Amino acid sequence: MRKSWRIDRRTFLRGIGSTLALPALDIMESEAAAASAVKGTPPTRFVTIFQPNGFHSSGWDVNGVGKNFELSRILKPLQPFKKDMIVLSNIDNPGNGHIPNTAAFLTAAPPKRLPGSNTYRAGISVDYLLAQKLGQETLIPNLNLALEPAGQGFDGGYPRSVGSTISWSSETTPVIPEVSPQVAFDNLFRRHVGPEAKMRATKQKSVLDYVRGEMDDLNRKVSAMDRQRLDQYYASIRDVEVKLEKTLNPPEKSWNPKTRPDLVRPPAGIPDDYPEHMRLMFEMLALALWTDTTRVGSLMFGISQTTLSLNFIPGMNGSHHGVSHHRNVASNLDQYNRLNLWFATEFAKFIKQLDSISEGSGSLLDHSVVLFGSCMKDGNLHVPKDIPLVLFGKGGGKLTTGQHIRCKPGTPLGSLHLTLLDKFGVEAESFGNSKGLISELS
Amino acid sequence: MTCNFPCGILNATALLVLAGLCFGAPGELHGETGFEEKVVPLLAKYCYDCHDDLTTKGNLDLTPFLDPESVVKERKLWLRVLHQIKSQEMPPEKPFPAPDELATLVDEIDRAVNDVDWSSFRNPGHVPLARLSQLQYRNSIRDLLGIDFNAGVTLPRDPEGPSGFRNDRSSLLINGSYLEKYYAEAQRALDAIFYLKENPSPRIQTIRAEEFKVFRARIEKNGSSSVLVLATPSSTGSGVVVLPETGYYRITIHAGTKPYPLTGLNLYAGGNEVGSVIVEDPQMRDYTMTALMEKGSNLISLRTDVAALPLRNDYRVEFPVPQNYIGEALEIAEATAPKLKPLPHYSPAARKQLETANRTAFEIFEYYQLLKLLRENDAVSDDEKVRGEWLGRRTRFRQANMQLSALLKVPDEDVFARWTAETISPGFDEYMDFGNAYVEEARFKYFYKRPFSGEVVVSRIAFEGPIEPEAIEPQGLYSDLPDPGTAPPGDAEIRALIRKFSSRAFRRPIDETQLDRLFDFYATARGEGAGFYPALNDALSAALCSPEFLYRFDALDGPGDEIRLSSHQLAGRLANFLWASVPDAALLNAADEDSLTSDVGIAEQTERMRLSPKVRSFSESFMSEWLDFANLGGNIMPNIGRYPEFSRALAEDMKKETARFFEHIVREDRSLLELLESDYLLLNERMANYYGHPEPRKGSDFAIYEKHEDHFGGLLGMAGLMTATSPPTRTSPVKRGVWMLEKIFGEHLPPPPANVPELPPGTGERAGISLREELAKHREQKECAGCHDKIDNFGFVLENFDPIGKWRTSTPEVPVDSTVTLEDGKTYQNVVDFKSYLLEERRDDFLRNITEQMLSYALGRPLEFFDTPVVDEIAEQVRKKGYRPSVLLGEIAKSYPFNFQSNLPIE
Repeated sequence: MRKSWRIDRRTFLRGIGSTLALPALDIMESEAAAASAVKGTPPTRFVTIFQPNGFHSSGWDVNGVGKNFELSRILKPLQPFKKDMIVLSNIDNPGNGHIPNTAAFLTAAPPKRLPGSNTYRAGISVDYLLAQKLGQETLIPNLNLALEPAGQGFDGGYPRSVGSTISWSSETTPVIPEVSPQVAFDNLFRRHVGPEAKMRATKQKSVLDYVRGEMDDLNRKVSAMDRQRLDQYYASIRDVEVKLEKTLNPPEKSWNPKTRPDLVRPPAGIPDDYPEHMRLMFEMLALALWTDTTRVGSLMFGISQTTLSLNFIPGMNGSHHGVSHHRNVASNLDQYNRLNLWFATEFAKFIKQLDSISEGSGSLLDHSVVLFGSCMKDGNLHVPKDIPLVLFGKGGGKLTTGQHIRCKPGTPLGSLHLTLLDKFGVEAESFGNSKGLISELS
Repeated sequence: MTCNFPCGILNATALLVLAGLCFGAPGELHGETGFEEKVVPLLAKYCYDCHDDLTTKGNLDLTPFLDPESVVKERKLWLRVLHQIKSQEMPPEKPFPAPDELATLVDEIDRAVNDVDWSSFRNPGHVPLARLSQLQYRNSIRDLLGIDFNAGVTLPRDPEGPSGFRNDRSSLLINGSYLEKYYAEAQRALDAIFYLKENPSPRIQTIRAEEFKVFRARIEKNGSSSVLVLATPSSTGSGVVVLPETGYYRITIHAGTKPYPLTGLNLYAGGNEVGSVIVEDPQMRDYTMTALMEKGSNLISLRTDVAALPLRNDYRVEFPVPQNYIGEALEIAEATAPKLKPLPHYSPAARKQLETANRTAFEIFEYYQLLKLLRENDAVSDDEKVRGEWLGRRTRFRQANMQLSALLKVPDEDVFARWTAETISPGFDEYMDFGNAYVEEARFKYFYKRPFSGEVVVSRIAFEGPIEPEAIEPQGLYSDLPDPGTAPPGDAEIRALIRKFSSRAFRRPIDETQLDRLFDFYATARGEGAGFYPALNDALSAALCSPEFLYRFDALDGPGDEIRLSSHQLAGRLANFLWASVPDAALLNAADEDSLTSDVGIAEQTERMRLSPKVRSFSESFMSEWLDFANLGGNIMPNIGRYPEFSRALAEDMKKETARFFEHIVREDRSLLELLESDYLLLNERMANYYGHPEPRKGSDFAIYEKHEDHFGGLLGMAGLMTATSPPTRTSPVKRGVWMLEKIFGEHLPPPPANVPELPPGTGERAGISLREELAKHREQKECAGCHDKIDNFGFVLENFDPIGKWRTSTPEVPVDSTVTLEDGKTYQNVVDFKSYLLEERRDDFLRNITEQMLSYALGRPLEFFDTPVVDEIAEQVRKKGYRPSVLLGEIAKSYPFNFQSNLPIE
């Protein structure tokens, strides 16, 4: 008897791509993972999940300080992981405005234009500083992903491209994140693993040598000003060489993952369906961490301001950015909290995924530090004070979780970054706008 | 400098002016006395209060301007200042300057901005070293290889630079993941070319219906075969096809339609729309399209396409259900509604819950009867209330039964099973299916305003390829490659091939040592036993990764303050400007003969290139970035619920209309003023229908049409531009006004104050007043009026164009008032007489603006104050010679900044 009238409980479209496993014809197995498990402690990972348009106090603020606190409406989906989280309040972003706030999220410094050029300086972001240390044994030092491509034009005097990333690999190099799930997948798993990849890497290396030779010749012929512009090019050559070297001569690893996931290559292009896109990118992050292809990663839900519209969420009636400027009208505020609740719900699925991956002495979540939040509080006035931040994961024992830490009012964002650097054993005297640590986190 | 003026005859004022010109040394404009002594104190008296470095009203700080040279360097700004002082807009309140003070200000500032000895500022400008833009990369690979593989699609999208164009050189750097991507891109394109040459007989891969996975669709058995049946808009059938190599494939879909004779079908590959067909025949037959597909596994999806179906505007939005139907349905329900009896083991609480469940079943049954009546009497109601009511009753029925099963401590299934089993035919399955189908159909009509799409039936989809695409560039590698079956060509022939390929790629003749290095790749691979195709692949991949291909080294170092570009460097620049690609053989020859450093030589090539179809890339990128409509159909989309006739395909055609119109003007050398007003239109079938043209012609290509209504013609009547300047649900006269001022007239508006919120949705409509009246209230505030008095009129005159560019004389609430009175006091009714204003009063502003934009595009940098005389001269030539694009392009190619590069350090 057909039970077609049993109503499907799903409230929004699930793309077909996710349920269709593509034949893994082209996927080579990870050599490192196939090798017998090497003893060693699982490394600590650092992940940043970024939402650009803020959270309103009415939906975000938790009740209570210390170990006894109640989750807010927006954080409710993360109830099962309350014991793994540290909510932080009273931390201030030094930037002011969408783009500077976004650029400062991991750099603790709003970007400044270098005179006479179109280059901006914000300082190296904390994830890249960490990647310098954590990325030595992994193929990819830092996996930067986003759900929206870089913006065009200008806003508030800054080029939108400067607000399209939270990661800076050098003081003046904003790193544009990857938006295509398939390209991200290929960069992680297809190009660098297996005998075919080794052959390709050898060829690529000789091309790189040729390219460097050509560039050295040309370098002599250009003006001094133009020579500066080639600095980043040379830096890229070095980065690719390092990666190729790791493919040809995989580094000695102090630790190997105990289990191996199925690797399913996502379809090409950028999914039309935003929830599906988010799901795929969360999966990329999880797979990359699981297979120890990288130990540092990030995902941006949107670029600063963002033009994304979230009409698939029931009750939503506008663009993400538009709704964040709620003007304190009750119905708009409700939509603002509702969309943020949706983000938190999706994020909870990611945390659950990390929690479900066993790494012997604990889960992947136990061995990670995941930073979730936004560069501003109430998006209506781009409030840079008391920005919404939560840490998830015990960081391999480095963090005492299950608490709400209310820092001293006006604690600079750089202090959080310094504290994280300290936890990971990276030396730094100052970072961005701070020279001190957050003592309660230590 | 010598003074040639007969000073004795002239009057005193002229003498003063001439004295300044004659006796001022180069670099000094006239005596410092003029500006410093007279103007600065007046500015301090009347302007500094609001326009100093603390109170920078309108973002303007006048205090740094202490001499005429500083004024010249910010000439555009001071032209505005002059205008505002002259028209007495500024200062806006007391104290006002006395008449003689006003005269002094106007005279001296006018002198400072207009009586400029430009020779003292002569500077060709400096463009930084830049990589190829994404568009230039794609086209270069297309022309070098011979086939367009959309190379560079994995590269990050180019940001807009400060000039507003994506080819702005300051933003075009190589960092991060680019290098790896370039290598992968080169491999992909070369692998595809070599494979195609080696495998001229395409293979066919088929996905049969039974292999599809379905989502809201079904597979039906048809005797020994099966068919995929797609119905509602989101119903999808997906499958996987594994293709041997990247390339073009002929895709054949064997399909038919039932019951309606017209259904649209979209094909997606990996999430991107690859093509669509209209399935017209109930008989199964083949529908074909050609598309670029990737090597390896491709996820294919077929989905019905709502946008292909004709709109029906006669669907009633509110259709109250007739009372007698409601009564009749109630009667039937009271007589025959099914009920469940309590079973012996039911507790009292369960029995009570069962009563509730029975009540909800009654409501379901009653509504089922009602819907049946509506359907039988062909009175399908698309009233949202009917749908909402059904869904509500359905939910209550479910919830009541789920609560019952909770009380009984049994799975939900068991309770639902009773309903199915114990109701007499037709039973609950039938009630539910009927109701659900009914509301689905109603929702479709209500939301999409199209007939229910019926069903598309697909039996198989076949992929044949790789095949040769229709368009093959004759000078590309594909034509030059020796056939694979023949004996491997000798070293000399290979060297010649590599030389030709890379000289064109590097935009200059490759030197022997470079050639040796590339040939090395070939020789090494051959030495390791590779065939000559793979070996050649290695060499050419390396060439495509060379910085000389990826970067534009067209302004190398040299002695002196400025460098003259060589013929080869000019060839590269010209090809990037007009074709966004590499030079062709004829242009390279001209460069080899060093003829491009002469005016005649470069003008000749420019003229030849203007006539080539390759200017399409130039017209598409120039227009969409200048007029800011590139994001239409992507980030900018109208609300589909309100404007169901809008679709991505329509957006693409709208963009093409504007780009093709400009392309037509360029290639046919029509007057550029036709952009302001023309007596013809360039349309395809879809756009002709959209604009209600009485004689639309079949086909997707664009062709000349006679104008059928006065408000069409020129840029302002184009739907794409009107849509791109509107938010999703309404028009925005402010947005359009800003667009007109900045894009058409080339004025610069200061940014709005921080934190000015958007108007909330429904602005105007709720208060029952027009948008115009609402904005008028805002302009009553002084801080807002300053800018809005200038902006809003240019938007209001376009109010007859609704948010999707259709002509309207009223909105649902109020009639449209598009009468505007401009600064000069004249009144214009609507866009039709406004266009005559543009042609008569503003033609030279427009010409100057398009000249600046195009020069900026050609140079890849924003213009500076020292480019002013260049722009003046070019615009003057174009004006004199009939406003023709051939003149504009030629003058730009011959111009000082195009041919020279400044070598001085930048301040």
